[in-house]
Amino acid sequence: MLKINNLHCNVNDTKVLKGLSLSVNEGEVHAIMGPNGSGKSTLASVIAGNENYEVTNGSVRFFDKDILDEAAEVRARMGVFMSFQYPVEIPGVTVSNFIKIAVNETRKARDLKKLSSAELLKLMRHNLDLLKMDHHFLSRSMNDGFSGGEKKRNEIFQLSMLEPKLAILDETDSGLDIDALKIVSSGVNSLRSEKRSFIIITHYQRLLDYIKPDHVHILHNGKIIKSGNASLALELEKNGYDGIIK
Amino acid sequence: MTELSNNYTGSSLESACVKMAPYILNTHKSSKQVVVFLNNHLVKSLTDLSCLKSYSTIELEQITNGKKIHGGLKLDTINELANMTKDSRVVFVLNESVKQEPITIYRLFSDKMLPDHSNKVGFYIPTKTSITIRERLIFDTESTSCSNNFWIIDKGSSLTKYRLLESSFFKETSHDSKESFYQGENSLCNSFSFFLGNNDKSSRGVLNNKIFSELIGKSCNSNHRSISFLRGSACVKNKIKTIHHNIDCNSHEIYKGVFDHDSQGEFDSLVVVERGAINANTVQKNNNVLLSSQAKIDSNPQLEIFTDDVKCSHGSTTGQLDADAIFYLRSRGLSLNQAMGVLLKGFLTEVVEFLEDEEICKEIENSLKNLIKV
Repeated sequence: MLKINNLHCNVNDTKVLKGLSLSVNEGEVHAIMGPNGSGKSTLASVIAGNENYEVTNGSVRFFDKDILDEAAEVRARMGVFMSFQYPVEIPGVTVSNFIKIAVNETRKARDLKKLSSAELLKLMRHNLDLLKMDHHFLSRSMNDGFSGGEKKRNEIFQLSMLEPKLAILDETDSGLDIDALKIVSSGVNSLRSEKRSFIIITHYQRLLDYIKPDHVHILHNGKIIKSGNASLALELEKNGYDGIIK
Repeated sequence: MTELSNNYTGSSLESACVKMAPYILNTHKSSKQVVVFLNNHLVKSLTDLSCLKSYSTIELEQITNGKKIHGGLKLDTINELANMTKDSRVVFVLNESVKQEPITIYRLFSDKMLPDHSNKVGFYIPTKTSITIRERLIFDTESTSCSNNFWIIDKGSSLTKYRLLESSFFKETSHDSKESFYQGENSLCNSFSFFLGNNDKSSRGVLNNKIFSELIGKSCNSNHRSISFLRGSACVKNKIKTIHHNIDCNSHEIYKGVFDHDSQGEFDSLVVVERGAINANTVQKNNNVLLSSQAKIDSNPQLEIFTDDVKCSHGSTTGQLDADAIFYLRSRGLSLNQAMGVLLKGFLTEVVEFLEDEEICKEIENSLKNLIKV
């Protein structure tokens, strides 16, 4: 599904990714862990198509198509979704109106018929229930005045509505209390399928207690320096990054 | 009741007005609540006179000397008001409709018919009356026109007023507008102004919009909300002065501007809280988005406070659309234009959400849709 090969990327003339390679197959869950500044969020932004990041070398192929020249919205419509570490507040735009535009744009690109307001509302309510979120949430402005936990839940709610093929969760666990973490994790688990893959970027093992990864990668200094199965995260928890980065 | 003078009747004028704005007669057929002015003079033949009573200046002086205005207005101000109205030929007293339907006031400006643009037009809203006005300004002139209105909102009354300029105004017209609001005790003024241009790059209309608001009685509420959305080299200059004379009054100004191409805006607002006008609560807010590097806005909110125990705030922001927010929306499948449109719509919601008149709300949303193209 996703093949990243020798990816180099600059941010404000600083080299952040320095030859990163990663392969994700359909239905797999990959966890990417690494110390601060190792390039985890940059990787997520580059895959999602943030134009502030300059790719200087390498390729990112999604279902055998090079997506580096595609705009963010094209990648989104192809099925790439990124859950933001710091979701942006958009006052004056309700969650329901925003979801309506986003869902129907994505469906249009996939040659699916537009959902009516009633169909969308039904689906939104169903998905909100999955995430144990209040239905009033729909009439609130996007992330405006949301708590940290609400913002993260809203990201997962959007994930559930947009039904992407690849979901990148950028530190979705940061700022969540233990109960919210369980709810968000259970929401993510309910969205796992044979066709949908996840890249989970996190600092901590605790999220991986709830969302079991197939593969764990350690990112350091812009490269993946070690890959393994779920036990690698436990090793990391025990020995810290210093025990692995030598 | 004095017979209305200097009002214009006759089929030639009617046909001219109809030619100028064909929808007037259609509206007139469907609703009785229509008042038409041409170059600041009442067009009696197109007006539903049941909306109005008229008073001459002299009678207004009598009214303001205490016979008809029921408390709330200070004597000094009443005399000032009487002096001020000497120039105006007619003050219209707005009658509350039984069904409380909005009154539509068409203000037509044309240099092809009557040269006199200087006439001052006054409206008096009697005590405990609730009036909704849709004021539509329509232009058939390339020379500068002007309008000078005043509104007296008596004790316990409320005025909700929507002012809309035809988008074609911004093509090449200039207009100097002055509006004054005088509020009595416990009165409410909700004023909305929409200056929505069109997508024409060659637009170069200029609107000088002066608003003068005096909160004379106790516990008045004054809300002025406005959206300017301009393209080309169109320009809207808002100059506002609000004076709190009495205790427990609230005044809120929310002015939003979106400026594209070479268009320009100005927000020059002064709120004065006079000595003794305690418990004043005032908000001045001006937010602007510049969509091009050539667009300009000059924002100058000012406060002059001469008493203690007040809560006054003012703020002004000017910037571009947030690049992070645009990426966020695009990462959800929205195109660049859609993302910008969603952000602009959200930006303007702070004014649009207060619209209670469904017809106006639909009209504004359609105009914005056309400008924003979400």
